Amino acid sequence: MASSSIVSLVYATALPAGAVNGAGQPPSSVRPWCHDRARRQQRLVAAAVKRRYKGTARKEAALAELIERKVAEAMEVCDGHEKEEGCRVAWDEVEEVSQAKAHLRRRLAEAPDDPLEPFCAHNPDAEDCAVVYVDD
Amino acid sequence: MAICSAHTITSLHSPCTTFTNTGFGQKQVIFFTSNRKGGRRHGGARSCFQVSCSVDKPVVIGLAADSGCGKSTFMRRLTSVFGGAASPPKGGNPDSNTLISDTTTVICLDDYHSLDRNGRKEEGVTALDPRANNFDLMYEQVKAIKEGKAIEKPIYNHVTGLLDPPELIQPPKIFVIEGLHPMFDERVRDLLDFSIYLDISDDVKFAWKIQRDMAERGHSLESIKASIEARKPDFDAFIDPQKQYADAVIEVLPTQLIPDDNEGKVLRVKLIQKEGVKNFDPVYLFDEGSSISWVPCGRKLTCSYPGIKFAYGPDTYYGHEVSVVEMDGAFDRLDELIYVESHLSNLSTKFYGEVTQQMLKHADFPGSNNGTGLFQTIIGLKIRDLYEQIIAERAGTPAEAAKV
Repeated sequence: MASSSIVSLVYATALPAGAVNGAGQPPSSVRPWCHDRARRQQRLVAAAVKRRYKGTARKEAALAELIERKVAEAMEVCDGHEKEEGCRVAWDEVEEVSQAKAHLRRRLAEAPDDPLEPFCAHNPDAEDCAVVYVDD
Repeated sequence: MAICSAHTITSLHSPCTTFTNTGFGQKQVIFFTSNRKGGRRHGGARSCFQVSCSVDKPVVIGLAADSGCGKSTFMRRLTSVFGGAASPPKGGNPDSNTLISDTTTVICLDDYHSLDRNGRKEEGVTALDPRANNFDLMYEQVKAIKEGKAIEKPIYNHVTGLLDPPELIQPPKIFVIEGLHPMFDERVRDLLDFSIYLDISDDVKFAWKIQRDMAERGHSLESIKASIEARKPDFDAFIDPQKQYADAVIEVLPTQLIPDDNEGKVLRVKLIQKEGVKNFDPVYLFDEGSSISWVPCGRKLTCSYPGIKFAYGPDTYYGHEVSVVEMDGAFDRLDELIYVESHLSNLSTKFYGEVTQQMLKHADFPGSNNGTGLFQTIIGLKIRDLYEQIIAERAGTPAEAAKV
């Protein structure tokens, strides 16, 4: 299982994607990204893209899609009924799912490159983790 | 350190029976000796020695934070102060919110939701509302852990929004409950040995949420703003009032050093420490009880813009006497950190430079260059000191401890 990171060059606007810089400086620019200046600030960002399991990629995509859906739902419910409880509950759901996505992003960013590492840390006696010294 | 007591059990006719696990987290060792050499006059009396060691009753800490459970930087710093990296329980639910390290276990209070996502939608309550939480179960389980028993704690899955089958939690040395309502219920509040409230001001919250969510396709500036605004009424009604019960409050505000700063990169952080809390001596600057305003940058220390500013003084907070240490600005270099640390007192460090070392160990964590990281680390050291004091107290009265 070759899970070395591959470096890919990615064009990015103001903020880097979470996967790369999940633990960077917290409070960052509040400038609206649709501002003219953002286009001038487009710069080349080298991003190390980690290889992911299919299931992980699917989970990520599912969560992202869930966020989109919940935001759309919330916008719809709150249209005109800002003070109602339905609106508050809808935005609370959006917050919950955003937190879950942020957590997943961070977990992936911190995950070791070698999936065997955490397994062997807990099961040093497993066959896959045996270290063999060969004296030639 | 476990407290063990040994006593003999003599039974006349029946052999020693092994005691099955009482389920109270007690480890029992039975030594079986039989009296075979002569002197069998008393009808074969055999004596068993039973040594039972009870697991230390944990120290329980409560942390009120809106930033999710067990994932926050605060928890990672805290567990790092005690040593060892915290990780989710192995082999269990991958969406578990629990973090376990050698000495600490952190649980998320979202696990005590009585209503799952659908239930809350039907009832029309947010997760912030106490009606969505089962405080009776929370109290029972925290009480059980505090007495040294293992618990079967439910799991709330944030991805699916459902309540998953429970997981087994063993009593650790330090048990942290993190979430939105650790101090809401009075009974749970009384069980806490120390409580902390993380108070983020609205501007800073907005800046942080933008940083967190702007990378997502579904979010825009308007949606993030609307989300914060919609949660605000429930937050102010249910979560905010817990501030008055906390033993320490970390308040994060926008900086005063840069006029009209809305980037939120430089922060002003206040550590509000309640006076008169058992086993907790507040941190102070120079002279305890006086008001100090201190700018460390000058001849001995050169800082880059906007510099660092400290303040310390006594104050009242919701009717309690408190000591407030405040830091505005950001650290640029290692020597700024160590200079500041050498002038703070009552830090409960074990060696000179421990705070700096802890901050450097996690230099990649957010807040490592400003007051958030500094005060979180200091609180971590204070909790370690509190834990050691409590353990020393218990060791000083072994008769009392062995009774339980």
